[in-house]
Amino acid sequence: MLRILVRVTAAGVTLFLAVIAALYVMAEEDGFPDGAEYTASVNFTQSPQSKTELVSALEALAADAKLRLVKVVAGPEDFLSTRSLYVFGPDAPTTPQPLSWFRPGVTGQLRAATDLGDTPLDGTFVYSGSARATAALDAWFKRSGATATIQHRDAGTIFGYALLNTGAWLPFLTCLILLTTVSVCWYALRARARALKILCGTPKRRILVDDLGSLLRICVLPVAGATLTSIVIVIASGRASSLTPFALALGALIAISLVAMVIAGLLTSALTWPSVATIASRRPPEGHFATIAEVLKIATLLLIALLLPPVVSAAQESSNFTRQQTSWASLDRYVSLRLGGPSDGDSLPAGLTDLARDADEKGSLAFSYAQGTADNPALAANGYDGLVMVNRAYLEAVAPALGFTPEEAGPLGTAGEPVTDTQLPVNISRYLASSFPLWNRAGRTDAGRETVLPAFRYTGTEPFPGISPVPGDLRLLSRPLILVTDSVTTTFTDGFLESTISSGNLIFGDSAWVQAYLRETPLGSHVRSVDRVSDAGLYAAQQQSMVAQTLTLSALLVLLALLTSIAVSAWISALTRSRRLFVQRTSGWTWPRILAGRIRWEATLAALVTLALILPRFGDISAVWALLALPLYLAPTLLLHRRAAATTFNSRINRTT
Amino acid sequence: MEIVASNIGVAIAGRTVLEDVNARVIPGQTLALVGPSGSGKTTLLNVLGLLVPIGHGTLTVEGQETRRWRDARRRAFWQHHAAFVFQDYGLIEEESVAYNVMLSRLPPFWRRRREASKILPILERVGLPDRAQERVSALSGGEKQRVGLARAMFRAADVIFADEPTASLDRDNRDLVTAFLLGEADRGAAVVIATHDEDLIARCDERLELRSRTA
Ligand SMILES: Nc1ncnc2c1ncn2[C@@H]1O[C@H](COP(=O)(O)OP(=O)(O)OP(=O)(O)O)[C@@H](O)[C@H]1O
Ligand SMILES: [Mg+2]
Repeated sequence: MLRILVRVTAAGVTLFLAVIAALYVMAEEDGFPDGAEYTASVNFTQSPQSKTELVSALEALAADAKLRLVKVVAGPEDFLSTRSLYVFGPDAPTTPQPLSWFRPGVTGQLRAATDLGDTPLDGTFVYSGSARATAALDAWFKRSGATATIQHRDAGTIFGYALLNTGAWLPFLTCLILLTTVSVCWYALRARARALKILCGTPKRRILVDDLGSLLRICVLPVAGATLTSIVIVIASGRASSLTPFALALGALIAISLVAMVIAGLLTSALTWPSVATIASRRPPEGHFATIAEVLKIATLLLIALLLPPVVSAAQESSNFTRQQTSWASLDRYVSLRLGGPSDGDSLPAGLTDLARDADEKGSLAFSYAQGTADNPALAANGYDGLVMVNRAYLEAVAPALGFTPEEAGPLGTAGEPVTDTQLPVNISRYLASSFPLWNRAGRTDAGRETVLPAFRYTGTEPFPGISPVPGDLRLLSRPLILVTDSVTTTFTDGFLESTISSGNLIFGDSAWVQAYLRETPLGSHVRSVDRVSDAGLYAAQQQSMVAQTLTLSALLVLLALLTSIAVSAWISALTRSRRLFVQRTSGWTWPRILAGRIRWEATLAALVTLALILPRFGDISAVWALLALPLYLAPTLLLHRRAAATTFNSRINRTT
Repeated sequence: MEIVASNIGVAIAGRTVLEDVNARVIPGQTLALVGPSGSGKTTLLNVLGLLVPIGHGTLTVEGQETRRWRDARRRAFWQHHAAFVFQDYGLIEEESVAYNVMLSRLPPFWRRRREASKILPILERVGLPDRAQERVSALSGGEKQRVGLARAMFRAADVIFADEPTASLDRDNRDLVTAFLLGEADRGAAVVIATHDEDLIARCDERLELRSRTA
């Protein structure tokens, strides 16, 4: 029985470790895809060169220095589940190649950097090559005015990251405690045999080595079996290319676990070394081992009760972030212009407003300018959490995701209530009045009117996305004041239009048309790049959705490990009490009566754990959910105790113990 | 309580332990199961006590076929009708003698006397007076055997299954145990005894010979 328990636990823990190893491989792949040595987060905003120039410089650098250089991009299809690599230099594939990732459900393409198109060059690059080559890239980043944050790949750091940031350390720790428990009990149930050996004069070292050897021997097969199974799964699922890092990670985890198990065993054995006196005292030896097992179980429970909630809330935070950033998907047709040029002074290039006006006439110019309450305290005082100025094209782009249809009379459809000038609180009117003369085209502010734009209170259920003047920042507001303009270019001054183009608040829906326009007019030489606006946000969304996925997996793994340790402790308790169970059952006791003591003890434990869950959140009504821990813990625990007791009883009758 | 086994066969771990055995346990009678070591005495005792399921044949309790009995039904049989005396004594080592006899703690002091009055005569009969509070693990083999017997007495069961009840006892204590088992039969209980003890066998009403299967 104990052997079976040890075997099942060893196999189970190995499978858990395999999942943790898989988490490690995913973490490595997220940070350093393509087997790269370095990852760099690069920003070209300050670079005087155009995107075309930058790309060809990078191509040349990759070719000359024999550098494998790749840009990582979320997309092109579904931004959450596709991640593609754009290769610079001679390595680049001529046609897009399908790419497979270790993380389940993620696909992508391997493409040439020349296919980047509207994809912004800012973002994540990964690379590897000789020291000379990587140094050349570093130097180039500095020369070209880009800012780059570079990280070197280092197994230790990744391992630490994989354990800490993915929450995997919690199931790992649970597994270690589980192994310790099993090891302690292995020694416990061999206490009598050890006492006999001492009486026979067997040397101490021999006894130690024998006990340890037999424990490790029983573990060999299940561990090897589970390892092999996990490797077969990795290969069969088409992930053979990641086999080496997976196997290395799994090997390291197994080694750490074995060491922990051996140390626990040696400690137990030292602490409970039977003396001839105890043998002669006719004292049953197993008693206090069960206590150790209980103490370890309490440790596991408290560990999980205290540390699982942070993991779960981190997962929630990540997926909330993903949900927010997903709003960028509505704008994935739109591009922004990065301005600057050879004769770049403080003045903005001429012809910019013409471009905007032409685009506006075509209906492909979207405008969104969001401010939070920090920019305007009057908003909060009136129950708004922000102010967003938009045009109709923008509303039409975001409407489907927000679930409303813009109408002629009400541009926000059912999601907005009109707010008349007189309804606008005085302090807001005053704020708008003082701001608008600066923004508004001369002559449009009549003395009688304080606002020029129809205002709406947003009443939709989904948060409303507005682009803040900080590039790449999407603000989600749940009850903003929305000002809608029918025509941006006639409402605002040229200066305002120009600054909103360069800040990315004024965006263009027809990239091909913009490119053609730029080629034909002198304005082209002032535009350094035309970039899709959604890329940075969607990449961040993808990153966080992966983090959320990993954390959720860790949390599930913890619960499975907990279930295993509940089962193991039920079995240990049945094994150490097998004689009592046998006597009581053959005297006709019902299982509930036999297990009454256990039930009381487990109920106390469950109550303690629930308290540990609730106390840190005292007063928070949502903590009521924690009460669920009581039945969720007790139900499987009691079932497992019942099952363990019945199995132990039968095996005693069948003489299979 | 009459238990009848007809043509039963039991195989454990692929080995035939019992084959075509017939046995009848009758109230008021003692049945001795005899045979060399390993012939299946303990196994048959366990079969009759519904601890071990049979492979083929029929086993009836009060005329009712037991093959389809569920756990709860068997448990009720153990609770209301059976008492076991095991070859390995069947004691909870870390508990006291009194606990092992009653399988419950002595009640709080105001009711203690009445409970105590029930078990003290029994402990006296098995020759262990004033050992009630002692831990069983400290007892000698023979003393343990008598504690196991004391439990069977305490339960005043309809059927008593005793496995080698006299194995580790001296002459006097053997007589004591024999007297108890025969006394239980006189009281009307059915008594089944697996034993090598010739004196005990001679005083039983029936004997059932089991042959060694290894021959
Ligand atoms: N689980 C088992 N696995 C293998 N063999 C078993 C098992 N249970 C019983 N046996 C075998 O069945 C046979 C009968 O066993 P049993 O204990 O009934 O013998 P016995 O007549 O009571 O012997 P003794 O007089 O020594 O107590 C033995 O050979 C024993 O080894
Ligand atoms: Mg026997």
